[in-house]
Amino acid sequence: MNGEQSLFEIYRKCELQNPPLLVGFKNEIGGVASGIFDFLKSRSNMEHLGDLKLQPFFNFNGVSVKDDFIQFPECGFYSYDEGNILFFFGDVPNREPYDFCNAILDFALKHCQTEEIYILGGFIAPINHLSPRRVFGTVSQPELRMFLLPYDVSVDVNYQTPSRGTVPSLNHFLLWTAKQKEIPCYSLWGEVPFYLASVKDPAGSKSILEVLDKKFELGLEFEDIDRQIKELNMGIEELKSQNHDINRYLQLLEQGIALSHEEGEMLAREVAGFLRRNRRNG
Amino acid sequence: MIKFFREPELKDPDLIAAWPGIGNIGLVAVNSLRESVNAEFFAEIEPWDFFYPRGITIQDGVLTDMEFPSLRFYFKHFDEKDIIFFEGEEQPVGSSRAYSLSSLVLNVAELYGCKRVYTAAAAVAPIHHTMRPRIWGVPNSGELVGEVSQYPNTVLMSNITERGGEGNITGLNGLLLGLARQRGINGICLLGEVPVYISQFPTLYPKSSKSVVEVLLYHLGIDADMSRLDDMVQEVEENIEKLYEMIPAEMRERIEQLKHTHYMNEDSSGKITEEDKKRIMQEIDQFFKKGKKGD
Repeated sequence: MNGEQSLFEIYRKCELQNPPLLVGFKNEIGGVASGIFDFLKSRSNMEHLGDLKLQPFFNFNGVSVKDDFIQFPECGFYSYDEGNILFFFGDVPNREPYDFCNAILDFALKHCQTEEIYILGGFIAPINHLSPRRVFGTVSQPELRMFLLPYDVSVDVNYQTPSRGTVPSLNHFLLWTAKQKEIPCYSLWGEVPFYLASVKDPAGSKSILEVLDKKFELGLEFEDIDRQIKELNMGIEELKSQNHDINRYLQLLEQGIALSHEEGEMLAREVAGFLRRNRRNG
Repeated sequence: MIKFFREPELKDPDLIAAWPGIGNIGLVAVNSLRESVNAEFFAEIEPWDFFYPRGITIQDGVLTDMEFPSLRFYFKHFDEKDIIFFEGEEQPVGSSRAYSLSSLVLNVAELYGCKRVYTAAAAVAPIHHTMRPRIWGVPNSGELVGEVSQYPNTVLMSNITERGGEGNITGLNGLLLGLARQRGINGICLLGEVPVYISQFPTLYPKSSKSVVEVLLYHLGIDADMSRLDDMVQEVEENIEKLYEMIPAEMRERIEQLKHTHYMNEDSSGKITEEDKKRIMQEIDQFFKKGKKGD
């Protein structure tokens, strides 16, 4: 809908060599993509190469406030030179999602000569937070499945949106847009326990980071993220000791027993509230 | 972008277009007529510029399909003239998208030399559901007023009590005809009456769609087997009757007054005014809101 006018600003020349593009959106399930972006940023001076223009994609009737401060959309491209990786990290747009997906791909293809895309995200699973996290992969073309198999990514996903089901995520819209353009594209999904969906789940981020580490031989060390996982697990242990119901629900999940809808909602609400309070209190 | 799957040769075609709206009057009418005459699919407007996808299919880890609301063109040859049908499964959000989509539809109309465009939608009216819905015919040019006034079971806006020939047509049904006029293409919007209280229900109102089809058949000079639409009319009528029985007797009595709705130049004894219409709508609205709360 925006014709041929440029939808991005370029700040720096891209020095990467045909880098893969990693894409993550803010406020995703379990903050999986945010966790990956923050982790890589903490390991390196990621160069800010450019931004998507915000005005065509976001409503600016005001600003939202979250975690006690004003939020403003961002949509940036960054280079992770150590791994020859281009990273797009940003908010999900309010409007023109198709143009938005095309703009991400155009920047990567035209400015950085990217040849393949990896979209990162989390998906809600009925698991306990101590369970091993699986990574699932969805691809744009059948022949790409084999490139995920060596990294323990499950590619036997079968799914169809049920009638009146939730609309597809922007991750899927981007995957589809890349498929239309015949650009090899992978969508990686890390499992997130349903009760951690609205907070940061570092174990979900780590599961995908491990895949990226092996795939791109990044030589990552995971002490920092392991510490975050340990802190989260300790926090939940503390909550269990304070709240008998939460303790029981988590035990049931450990035994593979499903909770009722009401029990699940209560667990999610209590865990998210407790973790947020803990974070605010330092 | 428009994708053509076939390029039919068409003779002086008319375009009949419809989108969803109140009671899906236009869409049900055009869809029923198109199916009954076995019109053939030949082109579609790529929908991703206008809509967010509503579903995906993943098979063995491969994204095989993404489903969007469709925007499709069909054609049918007739002796006198050919017809292009356009059906949109959704109306886009935002005026610039609506403008762009209407322009694309008209591009196809111009490509095939269309001389006439029809759209169809709902006219919320102070009538009773046992009455035969009329059509409010609204042309995009003064030259067509005489023609429209000759259509069967059709009234002009100026015939409608207290409207004085004025009103609004919201959404693409109006916009398409405005843009058509800009391109020198004649157009007429056929608004099928929907009882004020039915417009509050989440239901189709095929009885009104049938009135739209009758006018289109008259204009096109063709016969078509509309028995499926008739079946739908009967089924929905039965459901509406059941719903009607649930309305308190006092309110039903008020609604019964709508049986006396008249148009200009008709015997107007006991007619329903715009004020009556507003009051009945408010009362019905309150009644159903109360019902939802369970009190």
